[in-house]
Amino acid sequence: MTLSEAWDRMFWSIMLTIFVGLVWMGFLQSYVACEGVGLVVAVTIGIVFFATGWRSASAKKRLAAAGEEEDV
Amino acid sequence: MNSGSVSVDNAQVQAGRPRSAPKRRLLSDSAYSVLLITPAMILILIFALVPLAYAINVSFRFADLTSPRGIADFVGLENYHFALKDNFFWASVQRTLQFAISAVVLEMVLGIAIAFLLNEIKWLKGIARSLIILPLAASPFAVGLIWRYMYHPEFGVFNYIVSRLGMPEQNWLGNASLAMPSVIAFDVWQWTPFVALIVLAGLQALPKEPFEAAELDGASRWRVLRTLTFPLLSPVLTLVLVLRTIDAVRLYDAVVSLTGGGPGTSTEVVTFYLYRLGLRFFRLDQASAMSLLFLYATVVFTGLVMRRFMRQMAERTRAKN
Repeated sequence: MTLSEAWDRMFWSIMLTIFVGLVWMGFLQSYVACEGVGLVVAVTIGIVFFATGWRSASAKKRLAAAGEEEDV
Repeated sequence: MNSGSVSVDNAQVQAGRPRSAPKRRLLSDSAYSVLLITPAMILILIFALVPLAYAINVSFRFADLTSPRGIADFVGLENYHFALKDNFFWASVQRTLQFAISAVVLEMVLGIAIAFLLNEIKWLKGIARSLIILPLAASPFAVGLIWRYMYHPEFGVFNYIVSRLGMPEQNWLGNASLAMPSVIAFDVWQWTPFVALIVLAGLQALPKEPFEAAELDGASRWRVLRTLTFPLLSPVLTLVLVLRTIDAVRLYDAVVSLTGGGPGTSTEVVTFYLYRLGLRFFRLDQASAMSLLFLYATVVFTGLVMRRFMRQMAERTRAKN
């Protein structure tokens, strides 16, 4: 993963984390009355999103490298 | 830069002259790029990031400037809870969206139509272009005050026109159901030329070959528009759409000069509500939280549209290569 790809993925992870946090605060907190749980859920979803992107980018890179080796 | 040096080398080789030794550069390309963007980055840091950090800090605190405590203790997410439950805030968001969607759609349609007209006309092109820039050159607040007189129920030019057409005179800015359309009309008048100018520049930069080929193939005008002109113009249109949408959701000066948010709260858009809450009622904490929520929505919208735009551009560049 290049630096710009990592930055892009991190940016969207943060945006997703904030979105999940806001949805939690706006709609779910009346059912699960704990800010801490919402925070943990939001951050976990953000980290999972980032890690998924990282893994798929690494897999693509490996595939591309393998393809180049085959060409050689 | 590289293509330039290659052509100079080729010219030297063709002229039979020996190649001169390449000059050693003081800075690498990347260092030179960093040096060029540094002043802009410093300005952004001072005028955008520092206030943003301050707003984030205040949004997590109790900050009522009418209370002796001033900007005080950390209150966690309380201000965000308040923002999410505040009906006045959500009503102002709804009005902002109503304004932005109506104004931007009208500006895009009219702007594109004017750009096509300007592209086609053969005479007085320069004068037409100069005249169309005039609304853009004027200060929105000053023009807003002039429009306020034009909307005046007794002396305004709009009521004069309406009465000449045999229709009942209206209280344009004093009637809750007409105030928002009046503000939209003002914004459309002021910003349609911006759309028209950029689309015109895009139209004039389009390559001629595909259009000549389409003409040879006997394609109809509508088909050329649908399959050539608009797809080729789509990057320009996306850019204008994003710029106008961001500007429309930040609407403030037109509202202040025309209606002051009224009658009642019928033209109170988000920026005006945040101004009232933060700088009239001095609840900086709640105003900061709401403005950050609004910033978040704008950043996500812009990010998603620009992401699609950049992908399209990358695909187009790859297809060209």
